[in-house]
Amino acid sequence: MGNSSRCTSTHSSMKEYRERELKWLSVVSKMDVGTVEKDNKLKKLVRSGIPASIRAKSWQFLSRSREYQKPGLYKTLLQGAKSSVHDVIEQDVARCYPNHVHFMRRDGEGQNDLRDVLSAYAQYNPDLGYCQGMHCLAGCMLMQMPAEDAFWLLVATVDRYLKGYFDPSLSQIRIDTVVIGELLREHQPKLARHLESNGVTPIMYIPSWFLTAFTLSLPWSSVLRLWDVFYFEGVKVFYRITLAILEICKDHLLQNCPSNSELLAFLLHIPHKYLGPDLLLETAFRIKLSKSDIAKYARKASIKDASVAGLPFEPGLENLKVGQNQSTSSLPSLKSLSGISKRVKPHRSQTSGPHTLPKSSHLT
Amino acid sequence: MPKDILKVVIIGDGGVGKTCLRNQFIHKRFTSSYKATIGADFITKDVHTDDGRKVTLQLWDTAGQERFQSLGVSYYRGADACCLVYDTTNFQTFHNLERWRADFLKQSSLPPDLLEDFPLILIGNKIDIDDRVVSRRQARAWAQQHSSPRMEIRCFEASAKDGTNVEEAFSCIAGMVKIPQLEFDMDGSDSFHLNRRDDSLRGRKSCAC
Repeated sequence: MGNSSRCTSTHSSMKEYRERELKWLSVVSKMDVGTVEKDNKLKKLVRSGIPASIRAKSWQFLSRSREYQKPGLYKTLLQGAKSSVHDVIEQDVARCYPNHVHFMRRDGEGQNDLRDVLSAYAQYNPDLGYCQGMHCLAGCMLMQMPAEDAFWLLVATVDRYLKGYFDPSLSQIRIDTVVIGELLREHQPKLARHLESNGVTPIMYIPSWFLTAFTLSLPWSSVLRLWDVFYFEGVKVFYRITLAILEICKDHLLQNCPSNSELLAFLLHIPHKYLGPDLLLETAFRIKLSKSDIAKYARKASIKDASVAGLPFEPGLENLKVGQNQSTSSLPSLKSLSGISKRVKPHRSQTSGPHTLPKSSHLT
Repeated sequence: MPKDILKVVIIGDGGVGKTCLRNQFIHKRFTSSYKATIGADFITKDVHTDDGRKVTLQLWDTAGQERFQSLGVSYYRGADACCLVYDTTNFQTFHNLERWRADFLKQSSLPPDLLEDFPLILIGNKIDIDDRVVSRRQARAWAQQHSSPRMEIRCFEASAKDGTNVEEAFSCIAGMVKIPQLEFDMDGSDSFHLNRRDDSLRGRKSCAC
């Protein structure tokens, strides 16, 4: 369990902050990411928050974004022809974190970088192109690191952590809404009944949570803490945070939201006072949740649920392999990519050992 | 007595101003710093009828990118009315109305005999910008083409920025659904009253645009 310490600059916490900063510097510069993922002490350290000064490096390290990196490719992609999704990107660039100093100026540096990162991605992975929500991911990355680093982190994030979520059929988010429904019935049966009887289903709130990696729904201090853990433990954290949000809000939803209107109005605009980082993460990691349960519900949904029947559930299972207890580091999958990306060979500089995923990974 | 809830779905291409129209109607203000809607957003507005009934307008604001239409069925189901929004300065957004309408009717789970008469309105946004490429005549023609003898599609040209016709458009759709012959009478509070008036909005033949 995280020790709930925060990255504040009070005298009492400064020493601790410096110690954690040193620890992290040593982790990202000296250690092998495959070893780090199996280290329970580091897992606890991540859950208590990565120091802001090391955050960008840590996300890149944990996501293995450097393995995807190919020198010069980012600039080449930017020189490519405008893709068909150019107009959609342009619209979202102008309305991404509009109140953030980095993005508020029309065609300022922040907006230009965001446009570049998203356009380059659409060129890099034309099958996926651009999907709304990715601008929130790229924007959050650009608050932490330069554009080229943000681009490769986006590549790694979509390919290793969020396969299937931004596809043209939005297959994974549709499967997840069914999975969350099942998990909710299991973990919060009373709340699940209340929501269901009022016609509130996860598809009404999960897309805006998952496809933006919670950046539009949580206070920013919670977003950063969540992203720290996400890069260490993978998408399973999204399910945990979802169950935690609903657990924290349960009493309010049951007592003060008697109908569909009140429930949805609350769920889509939860006051930030409920969702501070310490309570949210502590609740999330107290919940007993296994990857095999998530996988089981995803398989079941793909077979039985009419709304998602036939959609591929395998990408979701791949996503679950990210994180601790993975016995080997994984080779970035470029199979789903086409066009220019087919020529890209992942550049490996930090990994050792076999580079294939285990045939039957042990999901815990 | 349970209150009446009117579910109104707002659809159209990304960036046409769905969220801004909704915000102008609810909050009477416009901000240029808005965010893209992912999935769907939702807001309600309580209105009172003059016979004392409380009606809740549920406005469903949906994502504009085409791939999000695969989530549409869950947002469209049970809708009482639908606002089709385009941008008067972008012809493609007008052209795509056909697809939005067809997709909405297909995914709304309505019985086939009700499809033709389903309450729809058309809103051309951004008329405050002097760069119009969709004419009033084109909008009217589109509305007439898709109207039925029992359901005339009203069309409005509006500005979420300065508020032109926003109130009129949403009042119109509320009136089309269940409570004809009404107008919104703002009383400055968060809710407002619906009063009867003689020239029914529904009965008018001409478009407001």
